[in-house]
Amino acid sequence: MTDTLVAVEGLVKRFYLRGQNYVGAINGISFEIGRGETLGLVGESGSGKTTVGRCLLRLVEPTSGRIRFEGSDITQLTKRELKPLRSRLQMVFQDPFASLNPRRTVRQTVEEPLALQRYAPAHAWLGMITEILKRVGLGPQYLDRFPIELTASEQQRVGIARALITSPKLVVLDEPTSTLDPTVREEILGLLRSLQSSMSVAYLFISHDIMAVERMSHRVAVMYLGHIVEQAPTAAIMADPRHPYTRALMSAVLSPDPARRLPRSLVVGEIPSAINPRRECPFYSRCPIRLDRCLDDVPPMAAVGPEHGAACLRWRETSEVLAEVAPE
Amino acid sequence: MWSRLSRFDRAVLVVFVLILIIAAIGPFVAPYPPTVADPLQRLVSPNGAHPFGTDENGIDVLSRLIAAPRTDVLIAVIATTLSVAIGAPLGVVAGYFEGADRRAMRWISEGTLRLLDVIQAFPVFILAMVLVAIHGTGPVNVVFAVAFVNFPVFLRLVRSEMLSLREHLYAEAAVALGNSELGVGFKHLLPNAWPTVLVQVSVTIGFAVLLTAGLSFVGAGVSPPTPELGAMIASGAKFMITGQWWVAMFPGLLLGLIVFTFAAMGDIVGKLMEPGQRAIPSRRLLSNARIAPAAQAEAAAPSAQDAVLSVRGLAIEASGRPPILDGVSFDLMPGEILGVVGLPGSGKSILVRAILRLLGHGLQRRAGHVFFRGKDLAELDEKTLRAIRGCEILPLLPNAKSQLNPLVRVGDLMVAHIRAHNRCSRREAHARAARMLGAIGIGDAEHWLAAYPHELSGGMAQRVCLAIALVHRPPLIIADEPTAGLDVTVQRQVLDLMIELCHQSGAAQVLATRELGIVAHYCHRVAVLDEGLIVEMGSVRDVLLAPRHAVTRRLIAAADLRAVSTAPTTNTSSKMVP
Repeated sequence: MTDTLVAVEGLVKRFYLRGQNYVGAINGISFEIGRGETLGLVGESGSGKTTVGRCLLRLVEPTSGRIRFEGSDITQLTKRELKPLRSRLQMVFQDPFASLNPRRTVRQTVEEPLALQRYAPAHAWLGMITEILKRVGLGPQYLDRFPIELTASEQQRVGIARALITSPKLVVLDEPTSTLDPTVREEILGLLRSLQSSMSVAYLFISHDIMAVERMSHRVAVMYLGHIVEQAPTAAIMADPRHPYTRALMSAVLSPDPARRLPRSLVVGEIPSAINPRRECPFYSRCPIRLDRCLDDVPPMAAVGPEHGAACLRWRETSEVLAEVAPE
Repeated sequence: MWSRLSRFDRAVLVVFVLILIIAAIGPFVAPYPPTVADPLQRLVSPNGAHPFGTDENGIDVLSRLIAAPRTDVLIAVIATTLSVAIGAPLGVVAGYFEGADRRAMRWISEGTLRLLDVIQAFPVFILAMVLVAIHGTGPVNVVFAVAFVNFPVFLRLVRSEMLSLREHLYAEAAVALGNSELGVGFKHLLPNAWPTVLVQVSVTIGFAVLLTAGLSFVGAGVSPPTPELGAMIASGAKFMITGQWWVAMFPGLLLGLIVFTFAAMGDIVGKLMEPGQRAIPSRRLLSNARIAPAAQAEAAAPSAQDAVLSVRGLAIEASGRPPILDGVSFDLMPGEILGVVGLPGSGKSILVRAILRLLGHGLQRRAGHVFFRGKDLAELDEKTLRAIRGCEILPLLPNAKSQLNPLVRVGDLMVAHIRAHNRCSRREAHARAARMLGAIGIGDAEHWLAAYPHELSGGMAQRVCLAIALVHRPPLIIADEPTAGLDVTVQRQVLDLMIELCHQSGAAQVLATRELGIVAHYCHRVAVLDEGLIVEMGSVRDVLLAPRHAVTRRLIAAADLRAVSTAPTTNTSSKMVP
């Protein structure tokens, strides 16, 4: 496949505790991201989605599995070999203020990737910084401001400018809008999308907000307890979700339209502990339509349709069974 | 900057500057030459010509005092700078080694720290004297001795700063940009550690002055005739018993003053280094062409007879600034839930805090009243208010976990709360707490009652707070973003529970939130705030389905991502890995 940018195969990340115990943060997931494409990775806290992003940048070391970026396996690179890759693989963080060094001005912050990568001669930097700031909607008057002097929206724009200044091929967006007000969230999502079309960058968009994921992504992967439980093009998964957890996420969305009836909440309880996971369906403890055979093994990804997979034994009948156990 | 300092701090600062000036120009302004003996004037007591008297060599004590700080302060400053120059970089490296993956590096780090323990455990004074004894006396040796005993302080300080600073998100961001971990330490973390280091520098200089004087006092440091405080005290000490007190006392007092001033400067440096006080006025306050509040007329209207809460013309301001809330008026009926929404900075949280009278940070009520069951909360004394706040009006704030005292078990907390406003035995209270946990869907009550707050998940903590909030069936709940930070599936459970419990107890609620979806499904009425004014208020259906104000329309557009959504532009879809 020529247009694949990133291919993740069988990625596993375990955090070892005392003795033989470990936290199964990621339990063998596989996905691909094409050039200029957005893959939305959606799940609740504890699903392991943030760890996936951090593994991609090698901010944490994967336990096993392969991550091929532009053809080469980056899990095998030494730290020295990793450095030039950083200009093509970047990240935008969840908390815009905390991700900026409080003692550096906007200019110093955005300049750092250029200086580290010796990207272009130094006299060209100021022009490049002004240009990228303009693209994220900040004028030259921001160059000498400190993070504390910016609004949350401006801070996140600086974070985006810092990630994009070296024209990366892939940017991991780790909940870039979750701490922002809804009105600002809309602004930042729109900005990210327009930057994507003008700079042809691919995104891994990590979020707990399935509505934002729908708005941003070409394809969606739903994560639960370190597994991808459903993966499909956005339109397909929104129209015909087959995993009960995907359904639960969608039914939990609170529409601002008071005339629309609130769908019944499908799940109770919270995401269970990820310590020493058993080989069974990860969603078993909260699933409204579980069967005894769900405990036999982790369900395989069933091919629901073209490019649409769901890791549920009852994928053929999800809607009907759910309608029985949780009538509207 | 000046305005942030107390009168005492300012005095210290003035003395500090004076000491620096004297240290710089002392020998040139002294009234008599400070090193030239005059045998005819030996041990003259203080008089007009010699205000502090003269010493055994007939040198004017005042002149020697003016000349002396140059020696002591200079040695102390150079020595301290040297110990920072050695200690700080080693501290960065030690912090880096500590977090390293390789075991050998952690051992090196551990071994170095134990070595420092040995240096520090050795009596500072004896160590310095040994060093001076090996290399001979003289100012240069004193510098090295003082630097050697002080550098472990800075190494430890910087190391511990590294360990805490590297947990910050910007440290991770710097690694993601391609910095090496050691590079992050030097370029990003060390600059953020400077404020702490500088405080310690100031204190250390004070002690270094004392150490220098001490070494000179025992004859191991600077020797006469160079004017130096320790040596002056030493030479004057023998005259104390024969009555010539001035020779030793004045240098002693000056030494005390210098050490004290540098120690006190530590605090002041800390205050001055607090971040980010450069004034860029917020746009909101600049463009403050305010319209006369239309709600003002409503403020004059009498409050409804049976309202639980009745806010009338409430205005809140920070002194000298335009109001943050202005002319806010509304009535809340029993069992009614009022949503409060608005753009960031519109005053939602301030309104919540104003009702609870938990303002602070220089905010004050300029006008208006908050009637709770007929009583004006704004006029009540603190004691009565506290009783109402805990029992009849309950605050429900975001991030419940951080509000629970981490040292108190969940059960003890609930029992204490039940018994605070209710006469019953511990056993009864405990049984009631267990029933409450069952009612909010937390099974295995005994296990969770014995748990500490950190064992609870965010959703559980918020449900426990809810249960506590509702113990006494309060007629009014004031909530500010009660589900912020919770997962969507958990948010639904908490909200459903909150509504159900309110419904059972008939409690009214003010619910400030940024999520319009919560308002749409869980509130009866909604008030839209903009720049401190209620610009639109009505039933949820009326306001959300037929918004009249631009701000309301903007909030709705932002909340309904589907409404503005179009499919992503390019689709170079690749196949999925099965």
